[in-house]
This record gives sequence, structure tokens and C-alpha cells, in this order.
Amino acid sequence: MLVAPIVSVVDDDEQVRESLAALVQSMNLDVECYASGRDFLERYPNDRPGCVVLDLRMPEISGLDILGELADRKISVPVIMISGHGDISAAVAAMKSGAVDFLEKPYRGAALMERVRHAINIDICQRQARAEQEKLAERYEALTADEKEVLQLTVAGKPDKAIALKLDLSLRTIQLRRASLMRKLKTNSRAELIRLAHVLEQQPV
Amino acid sequence: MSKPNDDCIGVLFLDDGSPDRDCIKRTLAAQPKLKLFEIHSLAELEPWVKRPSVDLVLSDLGIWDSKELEVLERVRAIDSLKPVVFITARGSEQWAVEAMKWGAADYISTKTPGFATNLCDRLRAAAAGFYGPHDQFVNQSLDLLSIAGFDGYLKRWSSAWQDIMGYSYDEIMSTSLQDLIHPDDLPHVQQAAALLRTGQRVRAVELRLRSKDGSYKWMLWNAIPCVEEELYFSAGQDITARKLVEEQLRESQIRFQLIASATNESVWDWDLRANRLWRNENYNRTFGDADASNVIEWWRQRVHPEDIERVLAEIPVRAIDGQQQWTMKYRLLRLDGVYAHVYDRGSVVFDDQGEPLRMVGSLMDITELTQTEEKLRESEERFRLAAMATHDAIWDWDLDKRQVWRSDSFQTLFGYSATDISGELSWWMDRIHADDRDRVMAMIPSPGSSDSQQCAMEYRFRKADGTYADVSDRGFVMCGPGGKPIRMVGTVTDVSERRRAEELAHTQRSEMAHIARVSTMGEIATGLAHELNQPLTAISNYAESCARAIAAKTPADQQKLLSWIDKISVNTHRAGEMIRRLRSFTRKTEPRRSTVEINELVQEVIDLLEADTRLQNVRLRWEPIDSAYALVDRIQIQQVLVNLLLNAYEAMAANRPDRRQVTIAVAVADDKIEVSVEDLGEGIPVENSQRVFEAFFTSKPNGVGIGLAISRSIVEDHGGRLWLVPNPRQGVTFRFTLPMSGVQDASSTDRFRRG
Repeated sequence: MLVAPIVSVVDDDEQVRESLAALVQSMNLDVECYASGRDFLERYPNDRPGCVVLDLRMPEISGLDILGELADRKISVPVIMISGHGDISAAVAAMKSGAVDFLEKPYRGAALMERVRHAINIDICQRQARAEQEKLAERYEALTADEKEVLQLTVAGKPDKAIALKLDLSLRTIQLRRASLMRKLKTNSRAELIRLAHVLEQQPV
Repeated sequence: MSKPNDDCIGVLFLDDGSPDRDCIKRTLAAQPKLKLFEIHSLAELEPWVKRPSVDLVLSDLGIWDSKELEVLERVRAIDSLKPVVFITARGSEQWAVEAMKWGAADYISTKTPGFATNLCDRLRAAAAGFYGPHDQFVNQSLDLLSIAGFDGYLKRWSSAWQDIMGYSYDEIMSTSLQDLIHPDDLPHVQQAAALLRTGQRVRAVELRLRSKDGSYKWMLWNAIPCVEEELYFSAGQDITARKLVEEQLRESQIRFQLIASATNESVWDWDLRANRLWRNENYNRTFGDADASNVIEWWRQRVHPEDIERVLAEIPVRAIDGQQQWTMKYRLLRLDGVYAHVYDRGSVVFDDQGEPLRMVGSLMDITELTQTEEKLRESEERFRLAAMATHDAIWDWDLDKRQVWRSDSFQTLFGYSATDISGELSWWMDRIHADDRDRVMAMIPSPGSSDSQQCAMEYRFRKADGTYADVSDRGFVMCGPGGKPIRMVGTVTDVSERRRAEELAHTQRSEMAHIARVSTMGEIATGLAHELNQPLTAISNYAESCARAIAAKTPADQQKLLSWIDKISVNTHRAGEMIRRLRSFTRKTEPRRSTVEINELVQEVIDLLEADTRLQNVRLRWEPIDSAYALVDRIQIQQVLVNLLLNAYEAMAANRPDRRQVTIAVAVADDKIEVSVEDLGEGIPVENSQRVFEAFFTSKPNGVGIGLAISRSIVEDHGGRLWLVPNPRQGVTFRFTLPMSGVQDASSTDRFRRG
């Protein structure tokens, strides 16, 4: 699945918005512009990897409000905040609300582009990790209750003999069940199995 | 000053021995619910971080044996949940962002004034994993906020104490408030303190506090006590600037009083609603004190019975076809029992329903002149005697012989000797200031036209010493048998002194207007700074885009490249325009009337306030009308409009965003232009609808209350008026009128029409 990343620009000032679009296009990246916080919250599809360049101070819905709304909707797209008059406290507030970066206007174009690239990379990694986890969760659900039990004990580091004793089953049965569950989880080493189990433990974001 | 936390917290402090550490340590050590552990290098870190009694780590960005932010990684490696707070004098926004990005719980800059005041609370918040925006709020307040004990010492205070008063943390800790209060203010402050001890609130106490540099600052003080804790919460607003303006206004009022009492005319001002009558000393001296309860009856009884009916008919009692002024002559009983001939000039101020609100006028005692006129017909000799008795210079122009007789007063008034004065008309014309001569000539009634029997004019007249006197010249035409004009007779009065006083008052007003403009600029400066960054950002973005396109060497994009370069120039112009508007609005210039296109003026104000309009979500509705020209001081009228708009915005601050709407309307009627500003704000209570125009009446928490007072004086200075009308449903509409300009391009330089 190779989807081209897209940069979303949210700024109420037309000149700033259009110039940001020009800058993003000059990097050969796709761009979508939003003239207000409301417009962004209504239209933002979150169906492609990318990042959001967000103005802090806008009428009606501010940049900080949007960060809060994204968190409520469990949308984890990286946000780079830009502000017309930054100070340390505004920067700290934005970072606390979950922005990945904060730049004061006017900034150097090159600096912003470097952050945009970085943010897109973060999002691609995040989405891959999430996709892997979802796939794994699907496979995990296909396991029988018995297999899940064996998986749990194996990951806890119990030797096969101890597992057999605890479940009151033969050593052979334990080995067969683990072979089956490893097949279903598409893995072929014990070490890999333990890594997958860790991924499974993390709740989807 | 956030909510205190009951649990004691342990702070591990990485002390690298830098000078500001001492201050931080003292602050921390003074806190009861805080335990401080100190280490001096990263090498010692591990066992300490593992201790459960350490709730958080407090460190500089990097201490001597570490790189910037290394502390964060080291602590996380030991215990990923232990919060790290950075405290540093190397505060930059970028480091703050980086630290927060890497997981710092908070970032405190010691360069921020007053950081020490809320340091402990921020640490508690960080330890609790909670951060309240409270402290920043308090410390960003311009007011002096504090919690003080009944013992007179401050326990907690906002950073404004350090910013405004200039004291250090230690000085505030060790100084009793009593020592800072101006000795003259001590008695009433002590009364207020006594009230606080009994649990009563103290409101709006004005007092002076000594700042670090020894000067005193005026404060407006409010306090709420908490008797059980022997504490009180207080807020002090710095009103030093307001006090200064008050003082200036008082001087200006005294000056007006002096002018009013210095004039020979009797000046009066009658507020019809309140039935309050003000008269200058000369009035009372000449005609006696009026019975305030029945002013009209008092006056009616003193008008000569033969004149009363004619006089009453001439006073406009309703605003019918714009007639608001009168001039008339009648006889009025003087205090000495003689009927004086008076020349009464006045005007009526009407409300929007056409009901009279206020009458203002002046009486000139022309008894002497009138008597002189009568006697002139009887006896030339007696006329000469009378002429010698008056201070005014008298002339008599024989139209047939083209000869002029001039009274001896010409010698005393203008310094000429008897032999200097000639009977030729040209002698007089040559001494009129060259700039005034054509205008004066045009006003002289031409022989044969019988409709203009009188003329009054003002011009500059050269004295013997070469300087010019401002004179007022009134003449009338006398007709012989058959109605043919045979001579003109008149008086010349030196009004230089009066003119100077008027000009002084005028200058004072324009100074005040400038002060108010600068203070208005403070209100909109934040928005403007934000606004200016927008085109700069766009320029930077386009420049980078161009650089990238050129580096990529894709010739097909040349069209796009050109459009970007064009956008750079458009945005450069936009930034330049903002600066130009700002400069022209705050510039201190001599007041100057010129012909101004009204739509242009309104548009400039809208542009100036663009940022505020947008950031406050106000929908500003305005339809330009056909070109109309006003004869005004452009900057001052813009100031009036800015003021009305900012007031409207503020009145709607509590509205839902879709209910924030302001409508500007311009209409032309007769020889006036009327501008109105209509809002959907909270409105103004009826009892305040006149008081809002008084100086220092304000309903805003931070307002000085001179905006509307100055706006009204500017508009009235232009011969217009400014008033307000409540809207039928919501909000109010302010309206003001301006004089129309007959000429469309030339600027007026007529000094006598100014002011």
C-alpha cells in the first residue's frame, strides 16, 4: 500500500495559506488548504499519511482547540503549530496539547520544510505500526481459547514441561498447540513470538 | 498562585553552581510543603532518582558534565515516569519546544520576570502530572495581584510587582507595604486596612506606592479579606497615566473658566433636562443671579415688555428644518435697574427626537454702541465724545466722497500717531494682511444693493510697529432719502487676546487627542503585530518556493515562478501599508482641516482595525456611498471612528460569534455628512447615555474613559455633534455629523474658519 503523503494547511490568512501551499508544492508534495478551524474539522479525511500545518491564532476555533478536538477524535496526525506572536508560554502550551513542533512566524521556509518532512515520516511509521498491530490482532482473534492460554504461558517464559503440568496435558499436545498458533500468527521463532505478544499488548491508539 | 497542594513533594535539584541557582534555592527552601535534595553532577543521579521520596527532577538544560537535555534521557533510563522540569536562564523558544518534545513536564525560564513567584506551584503541578494555566494567567496580568497578611507583608504576588514596581524578590519579601505607601495616603489606607480586619471588602482605594527608582505610582486598589487566615487578596491597577491625563484636563477646564471670566461678554449654558444653569461671572455681575428653579420665568420678566413677544418667536424650540441657532437684539434689565441693549447669540442642542436638550449662548452688552448710533443721528459732537469713551475704534465712511473718518481710538489701539492716519480708503486697505484682503473686499456691501445692510468680518490689521492684530470689524450701511446708501459706519475691536486664548485651548485639545490616539494604539498593537507577521511569513514562504524551483531547474514552471515573485511584491506592499497606516494614525501633527473623501476615510479605518475585527470575530458591514467630501482633520476624525468601533467590539465581546456585527453607515443630508456605528452589544443604560461622554466615566475594567469625551470634543470642534441612540432590540448606535466641504480639491487655509 503506497499512498502519497499529503500536507494539510490550516490558516485563516489567504496570503499565508497560499504561500504555504506553494512551498509544499515546491517539495513535490500534495497539499490541501483549509481557511478556518471549522472547515478543517468538517472536511479533514485522515485517509492518507501526512501532517498538518496549523495556525495558532484564528477566529472562532483556535489552533489549540483543534488539537483538543483531534485528540478527542483519536486522530493522531502530527501537527506543526505556527504562530504570529510566539512566546515561550505559547510554545509550551502547544507542545503540552500534543503538537510535534512549534514555529514562530516569520520562520525560514527551509526550517518549516524540514519539520514537515520529519512529521510525515513520523506519521508513516505510526500508520505502519498501527496496521501491523491491527493485522496481528486479527490473527490473534483467530486463535482458539486453548491456543491463547498456551501463548500466554509461553510468553511468560514458562518451559513446556511446566505448561503441560499446569494445564494437565501431555507435552506433545502443548507442542502441537504452539505449532498451530505460530502458524496462525505467521511466525516461526520463539523470539519473534515474544515480540508480537508485546505489540499485541499495546492498546490501539 | 494556583491551588496549594497538601502533599509534601520531593524535588531533586541539579545544582551546577550558577549564580541564579541561589535565588531558586532560597525560593524552594522557603516553601513549607517541599523537600529539597541537591546533587551537583549527573554521575550522582541514579541512586537519587530511584528514591521514592524524589517526586521530580529539576535541572538546567545541561549541567557541567552533560549535554543539553541529556538529563532527560538519563532520568528516563532510570525511571521513565519521573517528571523532569527544566529551569534555565538560557531560555529560548526553541529549547522550550525541544524539551517539551522530548518529554519534559515543564520548562521554566528564569528570564521571565517573576518566575520565582509561582515556581513551587508549577513544580507541584508537574509532580502531579497536571499543569494548570492559572499561573501564567496571573503573571500575565498587568495588575499588581497579591496575597498579603494583616501584618503588612506580602505572601504571594504576581510578577507585575517586579515588572512595574521594580523590586526584587527579596525586597518584596522583606518590606512592609506600609513603608511603600506615600505618607499623604497613609491615613485613608489605614482606614481601609481596619475595614479589612473586620472582614469587609475594600473597593477602589486610590493610593501611591513607591517604586524601586523612588518615584510614586498611582494605584487603584481593591481587596477582599480572609479574616480566619489573617490574609487579604488584593489587586492594584496602575493608574499613573490616567492621573496625569486627569491633571491635564483639570488645567484645561481651569483655563476655560479663566477665559469665560475674562471676556466682556456674558456667557451662559442651560441644561434643559437637569434644569441646570451655568453662567460666567460677568453675567451674574451685570444681570444678577437667576432663580435656578425657574430660569425661563426669571429671564422673561427681565426682557423689555416691548421686545418679549418678538424675542420668544425667534428662539427655536424644536429642531425644525435644522434651525438651531439664533442671533437677536433686545433689551434686558440690568442689575443696576437700566435696560441694556444686548446682542444675544445662542444655539440649541436637540436630541434625536427633536426635543431641546441644552441651550448655550452669549450676551454682548451693546448699549453703548446702540446709544452711539442714536446720538450719531442727533449730534456729530456728541458722537465724537462717545467715540472717545469706547475702547473700540470707530470709522465713518462717506461713500460719495470716498473719505473715511476714524476715531482717535485708532491711535491708541494700533499705535499710530494722529498724523499717520489718513482719510483715504486705501490707508485702511493697505494695512489689511495680504492674505485676507480679497476676502474682506468681497464682503463689503456694494453701493446700491440694499439687501445687505450689515457686515461683520474678521481679519488681520497691521499696527504701527509692523505686527498684525486680529480685529473684528462690524459695520452697517446708512441710507439717505430714497434708500440710497450714503455712508457706512462701524467699529473695529482688537480681538488678538481672545484669539490667542482660543488657539491655546485648541492646541490643548489637539494634544489630548494625540495622547488618546497613542493610548488607543496600545489597545490594537497586539493585533497589528500579529497582522504584520502574516505578509512576512508569506514572503518567506514564496522566497523559499522560488529558491526550490530554481534549484530544481524545471523551466516549465517559469510562469509559476513569476507569479510567486509577484506575490512577494504584493505582500511587501501589504506590510508597508500597515506600517504607513500605523504611522499616520499616531503621528503628532498640527491639526489641519482639508477636504477628505468620506468613503476613503472610512475604508482606512477599517483597514487599520482589520486584525482586531478578524481576531474578535466581528462582522463589519459597510456599503460605500457616492463620493462625498468633508472639511475635516483626517486623523482626528479617524480617531473618532476607531474609538467608536473599538467600543462596539468591546461591547459585543460576550456575544456568540455570530452575534458580533457592526454596521457603519454614511448618509448625506443638506450640508452635513452623518456617520453612524451600530452594534449588537450589551447596550448602555439610559441613565448613562449622557455620562458616557464625560471624561473619566468608563464601564471598561481597563478603560481610562476619555475616548468618547475626546471624540465628542473633536466632533464639536468641527462644528458637528456626536450622540447615541439605543437600538430598538439590542445594542446602541453612535452617530456624528461632519461639515460638508464645498470645494473638492483645494485645502482650506482660512485661519478664521479654523477652530
